[in-house]
Amino acid sequence: MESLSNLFMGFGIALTPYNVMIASAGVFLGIIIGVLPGLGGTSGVAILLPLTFVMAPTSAIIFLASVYWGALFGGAITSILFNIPGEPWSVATTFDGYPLAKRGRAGYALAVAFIGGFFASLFSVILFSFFAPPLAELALKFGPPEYFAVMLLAFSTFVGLAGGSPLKNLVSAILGFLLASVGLDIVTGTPRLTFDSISLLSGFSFVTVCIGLFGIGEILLCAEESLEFKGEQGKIGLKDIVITIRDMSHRWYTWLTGSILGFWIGVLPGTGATPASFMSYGMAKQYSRYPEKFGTGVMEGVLATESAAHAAGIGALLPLVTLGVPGSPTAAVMLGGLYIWGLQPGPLLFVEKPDFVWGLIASMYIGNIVGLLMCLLLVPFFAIILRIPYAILAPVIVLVSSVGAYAVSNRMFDVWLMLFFGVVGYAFKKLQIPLAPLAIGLVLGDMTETALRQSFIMSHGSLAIFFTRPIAATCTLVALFLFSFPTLRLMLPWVRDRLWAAQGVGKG
Amino acid sequence: MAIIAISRELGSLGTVIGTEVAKRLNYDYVYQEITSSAARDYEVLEEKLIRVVEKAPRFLEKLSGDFRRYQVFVQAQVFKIAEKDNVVLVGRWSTLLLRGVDHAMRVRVTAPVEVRARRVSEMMQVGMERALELVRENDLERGERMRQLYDVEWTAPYLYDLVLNTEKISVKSAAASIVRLVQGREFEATDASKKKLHNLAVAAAIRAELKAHRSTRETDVDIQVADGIVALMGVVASEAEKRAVERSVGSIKGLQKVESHLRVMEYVR
Repeated sequence: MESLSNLFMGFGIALTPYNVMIASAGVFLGIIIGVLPGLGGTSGVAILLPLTFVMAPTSAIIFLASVYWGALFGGAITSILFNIPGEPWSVATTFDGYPLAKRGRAGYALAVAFIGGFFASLFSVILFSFFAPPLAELALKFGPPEYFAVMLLAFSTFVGLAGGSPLKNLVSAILGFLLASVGLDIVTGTPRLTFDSISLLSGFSFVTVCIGLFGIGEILLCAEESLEFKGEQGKIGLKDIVITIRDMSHRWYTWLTGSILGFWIGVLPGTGATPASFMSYGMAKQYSRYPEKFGTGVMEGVLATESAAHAAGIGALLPLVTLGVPGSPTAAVMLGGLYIWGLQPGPLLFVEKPDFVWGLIASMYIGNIVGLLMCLLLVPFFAIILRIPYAILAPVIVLVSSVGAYAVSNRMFDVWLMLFFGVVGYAFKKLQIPLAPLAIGLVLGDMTETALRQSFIMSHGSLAIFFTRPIAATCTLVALFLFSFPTLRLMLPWVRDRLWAAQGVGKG
Repeated sequence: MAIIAISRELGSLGTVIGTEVAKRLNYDYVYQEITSSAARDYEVLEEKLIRVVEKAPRFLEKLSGDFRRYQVFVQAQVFKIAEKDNVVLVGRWSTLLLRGVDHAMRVRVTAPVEVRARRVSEMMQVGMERALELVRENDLERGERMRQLYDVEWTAPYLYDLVLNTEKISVKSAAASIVRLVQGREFEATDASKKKLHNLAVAAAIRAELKAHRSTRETDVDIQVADGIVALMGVVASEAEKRAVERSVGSIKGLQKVESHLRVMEYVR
């Protein structure tokens, strides 16, 4: 029960007035970020990251994590009331949330999203509290080959699980690596790909690139789409909450499968809340008694999506604190933060900085309670934010982003870089190339390279080292399977057709 | 001009009553034909269709989701036969499906377990113990299937217009009371009720058509029909599926207009 006493210590840290205030502010800003379609959780966390430079690391991570929880809550508001996803992970919330709102049940749909999401978070935090310490202990035994294998696994999940085109995922990840390799060679110390530019000598700052890719890119896209916010009014009454809790008790299996699936997808390095929400929606639909009704306003659709997204949000931080590998793009930005605050991500955090780790875990409980209360009480207020004309909102966001990019290392070069990557982000989105692999490639590039080269030094250049150690071998084999998964999947219809033919069913 | 749908338990004499009613009213009596004609129309094995009606769901079957196709095929056939009018339908969810159609009368025929077991033991030439076993098993399996597919307790009296217990009531009196009731004003066929049945039948036929073709088999979309206008709603996995569904529905004859509100699950942005 060491976890429990550590957890109480964590609450002692997270419940100081300053940290509670920081968490509340983070959740509040997070909800606004979640509500605004032009601003996602990843870009929101990236833009607000420079704010934390003045905080102690524990308060800083509590702040950023709270922004993430807030964004997870906020996305649903826009999805349900306006039929426009506030966040990528609440795309599936629009399917059933908006039809419910149109039928005059907006309060109910919102209550389902918030309460379902809250309990999924709570469930995941409890799993987190008890899984994290043993995982970190295991990770303490990791050497470079194990680390490299885990990184390989992270990248393979993009190709195998993340959805979309596997090739585009791969291209994006490789570009991330390429950007990561700019700067000083980590082993020999010689400049690489710097083209004699002093500015490039320190490499690409991760925060700058992320603000550009996710923040500016999204702003450009929204400006082009000129979204119109015509939607439903929403207010949550006490009755909505009572009905929600009653209905949820009948649909506990939808909630539970969503939470478990979400947590698991979140923990897998590289895949975050967005694929989790889609998978959970698909599963709830497939195993429902009335799959055809999904998309016409059934509460299970909202419940499955939101519970998985919230659970994934928590799950994504598990590999981050235990291994130093981010579980989602947003967690990747936080990893960037850890370096800036002067912390070495990885299992040693549990030993060397228990106040940081357990403060963060305790703040997960607190942040989600604050988020739930804020959302239940202040929905009309947050919906009003969407009535602010985009022409006012967009320049403000660009300004805040620029200040953030500048603050990273106090140089104008980063601001130009941010704008450049903004255009890149816009182009990628137009070409339907996912950005998450690039971001994670960039943030993990150095670590992956270090682990690979150290492994080769250990093995005198032999690849066998990744197959002879049990943990490394397991991860490597799973990664290889996932890399080949798209190819295997292509063969699936062929196999299925043979099976059907054998059963003698169907025409056409 | 009416439809009589009978739901019966094993050994309750429901089929006998059904035949008697059909004879008295000069209606068609349809029981086994529902699944046999559905099997023919949709090119599937009839035993699979019967399984989905009469047997409890099995684990593997639930996992594969195939039962959904069979369910849709049987439903489409029930509506198709009901639309012919002047018909007595026995089983195959007809009492449930025809709920809300005014000129359809829904009858439940039941009797205590021991009474039914005695009849089964005589009819099938088996011992009383075996007969009891058969009756109980049948009740259980069908009941479980109804819970799985429709979330109802099929024994609940409010699902029916009339519940007959044949422990005391004879086949003749049972048939007589059904005939008398169905001639009442409540079950008069009106234009509105006929139109409603037609819309339900068209929607069911479209659903079955989608489940019969490979390109649209995996989809589950909501289909609402009103005055020849078909509204497609729901969520599909890809643009390709969306196009396939729209093309498939668009090629069905006799529809004036197809409105698609289908949404695609995609998240690369």
